[in-house]
Amino acid sequence: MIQSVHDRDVFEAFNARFLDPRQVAATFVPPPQFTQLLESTHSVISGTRGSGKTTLLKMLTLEGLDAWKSSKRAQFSRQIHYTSIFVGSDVLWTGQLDAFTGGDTSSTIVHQTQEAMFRLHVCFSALDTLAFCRNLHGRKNPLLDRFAISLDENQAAQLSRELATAWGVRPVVDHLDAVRNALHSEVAAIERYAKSVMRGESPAAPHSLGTSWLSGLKAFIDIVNHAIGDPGRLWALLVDELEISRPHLRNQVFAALRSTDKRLLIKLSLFPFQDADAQFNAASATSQNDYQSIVLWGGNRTQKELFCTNLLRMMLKQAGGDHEVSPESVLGTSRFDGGSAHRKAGGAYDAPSGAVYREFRSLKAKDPSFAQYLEREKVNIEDMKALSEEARAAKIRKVLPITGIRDRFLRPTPGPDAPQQRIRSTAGYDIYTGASGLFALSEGNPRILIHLVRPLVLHFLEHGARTPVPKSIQEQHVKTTLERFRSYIAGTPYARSRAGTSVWDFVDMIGSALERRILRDDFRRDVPLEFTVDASVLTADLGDVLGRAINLGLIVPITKGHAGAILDNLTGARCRLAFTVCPYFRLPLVTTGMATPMVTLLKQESSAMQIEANRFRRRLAEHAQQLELALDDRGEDN
Amino acid sequence: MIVTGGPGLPVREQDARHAVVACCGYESRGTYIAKHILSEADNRVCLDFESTDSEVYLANKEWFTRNDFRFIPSDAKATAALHDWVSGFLAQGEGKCVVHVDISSMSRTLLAACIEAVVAHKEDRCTLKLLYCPSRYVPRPKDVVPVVSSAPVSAFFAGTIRDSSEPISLIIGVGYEPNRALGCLDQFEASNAYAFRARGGELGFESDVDEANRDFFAVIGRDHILDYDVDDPMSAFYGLSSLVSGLGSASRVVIIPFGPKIFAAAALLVAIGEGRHAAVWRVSGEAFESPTERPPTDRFCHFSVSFAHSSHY
Repeated sequence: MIQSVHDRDVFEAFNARFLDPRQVAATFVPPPQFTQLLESTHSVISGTRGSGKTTLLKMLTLEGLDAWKSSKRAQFSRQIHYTSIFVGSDVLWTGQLDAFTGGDTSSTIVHQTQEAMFRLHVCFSALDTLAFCRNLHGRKNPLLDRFAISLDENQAAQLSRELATAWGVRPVVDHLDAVRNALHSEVAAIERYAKSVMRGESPAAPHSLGTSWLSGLKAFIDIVNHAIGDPGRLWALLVDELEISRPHLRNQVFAALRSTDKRLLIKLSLFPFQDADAQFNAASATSQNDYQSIVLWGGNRTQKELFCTNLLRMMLKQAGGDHEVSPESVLGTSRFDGGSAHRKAGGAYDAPSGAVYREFRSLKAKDPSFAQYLEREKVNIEDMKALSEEARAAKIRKVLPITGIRDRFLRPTPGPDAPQQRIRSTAGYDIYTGASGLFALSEGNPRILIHLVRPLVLHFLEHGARTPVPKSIQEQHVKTTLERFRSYIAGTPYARSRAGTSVWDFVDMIGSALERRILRDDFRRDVPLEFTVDASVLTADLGDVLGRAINLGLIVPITKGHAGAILDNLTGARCRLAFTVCPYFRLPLVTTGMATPMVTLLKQESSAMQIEANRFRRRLAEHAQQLELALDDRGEDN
Repeated sequence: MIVTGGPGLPVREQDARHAVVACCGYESRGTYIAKHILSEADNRVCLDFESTDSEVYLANKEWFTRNDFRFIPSDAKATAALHDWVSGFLAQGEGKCVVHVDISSMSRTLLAACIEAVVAHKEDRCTLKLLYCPSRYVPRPKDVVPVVSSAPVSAFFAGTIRDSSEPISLIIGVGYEPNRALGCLDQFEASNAYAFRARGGELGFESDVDEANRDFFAVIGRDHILDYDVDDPMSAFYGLSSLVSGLGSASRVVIIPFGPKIFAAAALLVAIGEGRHAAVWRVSGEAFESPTERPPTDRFCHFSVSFAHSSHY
């Protein structure tokens, strides 16, 4: 018996893409941006991989709203005044089209074929939506009744005739199912046509070729609205993961945001950064005038924590647990909670058992630069309470994320010739555990959070739901999730620029440079953990690499105020490493509000790599010399 | 199409004309099968990787040259060149003919090109024999090699375009590249995944494969891991065929054949047998994957494919 995703717990599904809207609804936790998305405007949602774009769009569909069991459902449903038609795209679809058409993205046949296929998929989805609206009729669903469509047999037959004519297909009978079958035949005809052209033949072009998807959709709206006697009925086309489509199609869909047809809204989702090939053309829509930007990346930590808490509670509820408990009851406190656990517990500064006191004493013993800092700042760790509140904030609380990392990862005392041995290579990820730590690691990305937390929720419930999941178990799941994330990065061709530069190598340079500052260099109170993108070094390739790193969720742009959905110029941008990758580089899960030019970090790390390479070469030369001597000795023996 | 197969080399068909397709690359097993069947085939062709910095390659090249193999560059035109060569071979006479293909050292792209070249002729009188010699154990790469290319192995094997709202089922013949299968799962955002795992090969391979795919196996679950015997290719063929057939009605099936080449051959044959609805993809690190010498074992296995009533291919 083949087990499909539909048989599994939906939280166990690999992602939301192929869950039907009902399954998506079962686990839906609305983020703050959902309210914006509901509005009757064109929208562009941008977010990294796994940030929940697909889920948000699917929750605008009638199927999603119908299945959603939440106290907020009524409130949100009332704000929707349009009928949504969801269209997805995927790697397989694009790969197949490229293969059939030779992958030459500049060729007319590629453009025509891809547009025709997109048009047919819009038609399929429109028919699905129509079927659901008919299904709503008579179900007496007070929230969604206004979307129900009632058609008798004659009206449906008439509708199918008109749609078939408008879409240029020939169903064998006047029935909407027959229209669908005729569309399938058209897909096969286009596939045959493309292959035939690629073989150098000159076949007759199928009907669909050269017909615009937008006109096909508008014809659907005309015909259906007329049939139901509601000429002003509003529809929304939801296009998911537009970045997977080829640039010319992306441009076309994007340009449709300028549509002035008052009966049609376009809501689309894509990656935040759009590369040079995909720059939307001059005639395209603009954020200020034509659509509303909805940004799922960045955001403030409080908002993300709230979203993560809600998602955690949903997981608890789904697993049959008490969903009113606090995240700390399940996952414990975190080193990176902004000091809230210390404040609650009290006595953190007190000798001999206060948490801050013990950490400072331990670090002072093994890190002379920290001892110097304490001396310079006149901090007596035996009596930290003597400091004023202001001094404690500036001299103690401010450095806690850094002292935590240094105390965890520095060895007692390294030899003077082996500074690299200062780092404890065996130290694990336990410092990143606890509710706030895991939430920060996820960056509010639901897919990462589910991978991280779902097994821990089950562990919590299986062990009586009385004490938080042990840190050792959490640490193991952090490791597994990060390894999976890293595997994805290694396994996707997208993680390499057009020029072949590895996105991970770039992130590794930035991360290693920051690690050097936080951990390997002498202790400093102010360590910039952000970087600014200087125009002087932003070559086309580096821009491409940086953009891909943002889209993959490895780097987070920091914006002030309202951000546009699309990043098309990174010059001057301020960024930080995503917390998700911070454990690789032993970095704290905090922002310090200070930035270094990216060029400084890259130069510093290139130079460090050079020093490291030279040191390695020197060691190799020494080994070779020793080997040579040994061989000479052996020769003499013989 | 009728597919048979099993351990060892196939029995020679006496009353047929024979041709052989080999591959001149950087593995010493590249000439091993050709040496065994050389006397059977007058028509000899060799797909040439055109490497100049490998001693094994140069030795292979010298052997193929000495034994009158015609060289076809393994470039983008290889499929067309193979097609023409098969046409020429078939045109040389009436009666039964057999095309032997040594797939041991072939890339998946070339393997697909060989199969396509024969299948496209739709000749009932022609039999295709895919011959495979497993390599001796070579330790797995320790580092994760980045994936540079991920695409259908060819247009012929790209599968049928279906409604993109249908879920994707991924079937991966797992190899020993660390976590590559896991990366594929994420890249395709598949809703369903199965692993085909080779058993019965050289000592060392099995534990390497298990280690490299530990996380992937954990994600898909034990009941989605299917073992096949590397010396009995029909075990892979039947298992794959029934799985593709079962999954194909409710999802779009993609097969990614890492691991032994004989599994790639099974994947391509199953894709043809199922009306080419399933897609066969190649996911590769291209130049980042360093050429590795793979010496032959003394074991063989094969598929034998005949094309009676083959008009629907």
